Parts: sequence; structure tokens; C-alpha cells
Amino acid sequence: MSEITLRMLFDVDTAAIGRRAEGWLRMANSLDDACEELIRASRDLENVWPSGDTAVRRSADLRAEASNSYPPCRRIGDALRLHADTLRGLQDQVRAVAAEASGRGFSVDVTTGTVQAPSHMFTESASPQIVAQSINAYVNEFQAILARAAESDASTANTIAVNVPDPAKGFGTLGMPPVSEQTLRDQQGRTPRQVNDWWRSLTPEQQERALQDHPELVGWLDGVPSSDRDVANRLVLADRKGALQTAADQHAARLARLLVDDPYNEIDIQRETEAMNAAQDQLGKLAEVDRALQSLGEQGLLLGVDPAGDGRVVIAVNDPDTARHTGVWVPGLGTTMEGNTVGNVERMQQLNLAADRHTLGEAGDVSTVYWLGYDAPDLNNLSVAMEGRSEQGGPRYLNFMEGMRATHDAGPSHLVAMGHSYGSTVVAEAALTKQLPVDDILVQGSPGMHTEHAADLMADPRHVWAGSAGNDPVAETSNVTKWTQFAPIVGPFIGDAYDDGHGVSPHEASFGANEYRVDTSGHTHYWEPNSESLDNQARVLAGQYSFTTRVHGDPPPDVVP
Amino acid sequence: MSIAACTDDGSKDVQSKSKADAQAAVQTLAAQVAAQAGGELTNGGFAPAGCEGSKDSSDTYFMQGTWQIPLAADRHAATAAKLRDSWQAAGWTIKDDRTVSGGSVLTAVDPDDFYVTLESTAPPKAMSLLIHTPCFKNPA
Repeated sequence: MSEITLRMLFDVDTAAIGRRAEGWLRMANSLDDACEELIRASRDLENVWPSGDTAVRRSADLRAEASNSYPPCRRIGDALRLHADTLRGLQDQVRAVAAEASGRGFSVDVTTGTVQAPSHMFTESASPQIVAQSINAYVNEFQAILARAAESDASTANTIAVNVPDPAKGFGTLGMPPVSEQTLRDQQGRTPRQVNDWWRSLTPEQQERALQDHPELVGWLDGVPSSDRDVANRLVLADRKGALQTAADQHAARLARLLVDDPYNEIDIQRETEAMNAAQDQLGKLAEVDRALQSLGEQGLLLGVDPAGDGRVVIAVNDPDTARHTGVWVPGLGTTMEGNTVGNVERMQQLNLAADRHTLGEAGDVSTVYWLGYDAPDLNNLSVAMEGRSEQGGPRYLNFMEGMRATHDAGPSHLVAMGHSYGSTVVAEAALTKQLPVDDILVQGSPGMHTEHAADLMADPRHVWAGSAGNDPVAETSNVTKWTQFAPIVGPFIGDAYDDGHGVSPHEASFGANEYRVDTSGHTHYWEPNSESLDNQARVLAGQYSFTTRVHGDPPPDVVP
Repeated sequence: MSIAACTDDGSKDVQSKSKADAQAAVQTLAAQVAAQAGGELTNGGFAPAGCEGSKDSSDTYFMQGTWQIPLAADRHAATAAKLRDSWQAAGWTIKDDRTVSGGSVLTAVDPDDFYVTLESTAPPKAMSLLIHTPCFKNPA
């Protein structure tokens, strides 16, 4: 192609290239969705039509070719998007260099890329050589910019050339190899962005196969799109329920036989009883997850589920990958899968609805995520006063939030970290790394955030928001002392450990965060539907900071939709 | 409608009402507010929540509904003032009445303890409407 000139670079319509990129990416997404439907609708053909060899073969070929069309389409879209961004950046650089040169008295011709100095500059300068060197420096800068533009142009053209289908063979019917368990395990050590790049490089057929073959690995893999995690985790949920029900039934049957045939065999009776109860306990936890998902209907996405221990579960209200505003909330003290999933998901529904009403456009552009991805402190020991659980949960939360950024589509994304009670210390552990990729931090009933200053959590502390009910015994440290005095031996220790362990409560003015008004009572009612507390949380989540009511602090400018 | 307060344990002195009926009551009130505001209800949604002391909405619950009422930005303040006066005359309690840089906020509680909030959206091309009921008990 002809040589690129500054004028050509100046005149490139980068927005038009961007629109073409979005067109390719939209087509890629549509292909991905269509392939998923095709695969799920046709993969069992051989089971229902064992003698239909030809149909089965052609169906497999169609699945393969359709799947093979997706990665090239996405690669072209990605390349065009990168090209548009690169050229836009280079245009800005040209303008900056030209402005600087003009400011110093040089004249710049962007059509030819020449830089000239008026004659008086040479005659008046103590060193005409310096004037000439300056001209050369500017010309060299322009040439370097043009070289980068040419490189981006050639690279993009090459990507398009190698990814368009062969006119004779199309995209081919040769299926790509399935993803191995080891490959999936290897992803666990990579960043969510890397995982997302890898996942997007797979064909829909490979993705679907990975979901079916290893749902327990895909389901917790940060960087995999939420809709795919949902498919994987619902498979895990169904499989675990089936396996646990079978186990519970088998133990119950053995127990019944023992009680009839060998009623004095206390060891075996106890073993079978414990095994049956353990299976039923886990079934109880999963039943709670089921109930929460049923209450959400199509709004719900299951982003993680594991009934072991107290249980871990992550449930989103609306898809965070397409939402304009997403809040990911960490619960606190005493939270378990069996005891709190439905109630906490309802809190997320309330907050979601309250925030969604602020944002114009289609309903559903706010997503709220219930994240019990850590072992919350128990009610029956001192773990709540210690930092161990938050230190364990912080990195997991950080990884999840990086995943939220990696999987979000190209549209605007306002991401909010939210935590209640001890959950706020998990958020703090993630934020103190300075890597937490969020726009706001919003906490309720926090005992402290492991620092004395909001500025340690967010570069702009106006984006840290804390609320506390006046009689919340957790957030109000004076109340901790008041409450713990009733436990004469261990009480003072808990009170001191609370203060020493978690630091100043973030709603205190000295912390430097915004304290939003809370009109609810106690430690667990911050989401009452009739409350200023819920309204203020919703306003922060929707980026409508100017609407918040505050005890102290200054709101940053509202998020511009 | 006569509703007793929702108590801490979430079960005493609470009127029994199905979630469907509560949703219908909220919808009816929303339509009245929209008519008063001179606009139409769009982008509606409902969600239940457990009352104080309930771990979820299976026993006692609030029902919350939200909508948007498209209205030009320059009508928000006047609309909020008109509704405030109208609601006060009807015996409602005004809880919040503000104009902020982003628009207007008006919150009130009606004589049946239904909580109503109108607030400008972002951008201020509509007013959002939030209504929630007092605490109800699911019928046995």
C-alpha cells in the first residue's frame, strides 16, 4: 500500500473503524450464542437416532464448522478495535507534537510532515544549529509516529487476511481438540485477564465441551464469562444434588438394614448415621441455593457453588458482564450457605431494584452479586475479631473483581466493591493491595478496614462510602465495649481485639470516607426497603452521588451515563 | 387498608396478604402517582424482602416495586412540588423533599404505611418511582 502520511493519519475516521470492530465482535457474539444453541440442540442426536449415521456426521461437521467461524471473527474484531485505539492515540500524539512546535514558533505542515522555522529564528538565535536540531527532532517524532501507524495498519491487515475463510473450504469441519483437565487447572494460576483471553480463543465447541466435562473447574474460574460460569455451576449443582441424594438414600437403606439385622452394631450404625446426616446437611445447603435461584428466575446467575464446610456460593442478580453498574457484596459474621443464601440474595434484589430505577435505559442494567467466596467468621469463636478470615478471603475477592473487569463487554462499567460487617475487612484486604479495580467502595456496619485512612483504599477517598446505624454493636466500637462487658472473661478480649484487629471504623470522620446516612437499627437491617440506608447504597451503586444524604464527607462528581 | 407496624420478630400484629395481592396494591398506587405526575410507568420491577427479624421473605415480607416516569428535566422540580402539596393535603407524611444538583427527591409515607419515593434519574429524563409496602405476613 502507499506510504502513510501525516495527513492520512489525521484524516482517519477512528470512530468508523471502531464501529466496524464492534460489528465484527457483535457478529462473533451472535455466532457464539448460535453455536451454543446448535451444540446443545444436536449433540445427543446419536443417542436418539442410533442408525442415523449420515445425519450424525453432518450434524457434527456443521457444529465444527460453525464453531470454527467464531475465533477468526473475534480476532478480526479485536484487531480492528486495537487498530482504532492505536490510531486514535497516534493522532493525539501528532496534535501534541504539532502544538508544541507551533508554540515554539515553528510552522508545521501536516500534509507533508515538514517542519520549518521562520528566517528570523535562525538570525536571532545564538545557535542556528540548535534550531535545525529542533526541526530534525520534530520531523523524527512525526516519522516515528507514522512508522507505528504503518505497523498497526500492516498488522491489522494481516490479521484480517489470515482469518477470513478459505473460499473453497470455508472454515473447515475439522473440530478442535477438547480442553484437557490439566489445561483448565493451569488456568487457575493465571490472571483473570489471561484466562479471559484464553477462553475467548477457544471455539464454542471447545468451550461447551469444557463446561460439560469439567464444570467444577470452569465454574470457579475467574475470567470465564458469567453466562458460561452459570451453565457450569448449574451442572455442578444438579450433579452434586444427585450424588448426595443417592449417597443419603444408600446410607439410609444400610442404616435401616443394620437396625433390623444387627441392632447392636453401634459402630456401623453410628457411621451410617453420620454419613447420612452429612449428605443431608449438604443437600440442605444446596436446597437453599436452589430456592434463591428459583426466586430470581431468569435474573439469576450462579457464579460459584461448593457445599463443603460452611459452603461457598456466588449468585448474581442480572448479568454483571453487560450491566452498566455492578456491585459485588461480601457478607460478614456468621454467614453460611444454608442459613443465609435466600435472605442475602433478597438483599441484593432489593438493592438492585433500588439502584436500577435511577438508571435510564432497559431494566437490568444494574447487577448485584452476592459473593460468599470465603469462609465467613463463625458466631461461636473468636475468628470475627481476627484478621485471618479476611486475609484468606481478600485475594479471592480481588481475583473475582479482576475477573469482573476482564469479562465485561465493551460498554461502560461502573464497578463497586461492597461489604457488610466482617465482609468489609475482606474488601479492605483486597483494596489495600492497590490492585482492586473498582470505582467505589461501599460498606455497612464495618468494624474497621485494617487502615486508618480511606486514601489507603482508594486514590480518591471520596469514593469510599461507609454507613453505620447508631446502635450497631459492630461498627460502633463504644458499643462493642458495652456489649462485651456482659461476658466478663472473654468479653474484654473480644472488644480489645476488635479495636486492635480491624482499626478505626470507616464511618468515623477521621477515616476520611463519606459517611452516608443510615436510619435503620442494629447490625443487620441496612437493607430495609423503607430506609434511607438502602436508598443511599442504591445511589452510590448507580453513581448518583449528589443524591446521597451524608453525615459528613464530600461526594465526587456523579457518574455520567 | 389498616396495617399494624412490623415488629422485630417479624410475625406479630402483621396483616396477612399474599405476595400477589401486595404486588397489585403497589401497582395500583404507582399508577395513581404516575397519573398525578402526568406521565406513564415504564421499566417496572418487583422484589420481596424479609421483614425485620426474618431471614428471608418466606414468612413475613415487604414488597417493593420500582418504575420510571419519563418527564423532561425542567418539569422535575415543579412535579415534585405539586405531588408534595397533593400528598400533604391527603394526609401523607413527607420524609424527604430536596433539590440537588442532579434533580429532585421526594419521599413520603401514605396513611396505609406505603412508602413512596420519587427521584430524578441519570440523565434526568425521567423520575424514578419506588414504592414499598409495610410488613405483610404470607397467608398460611
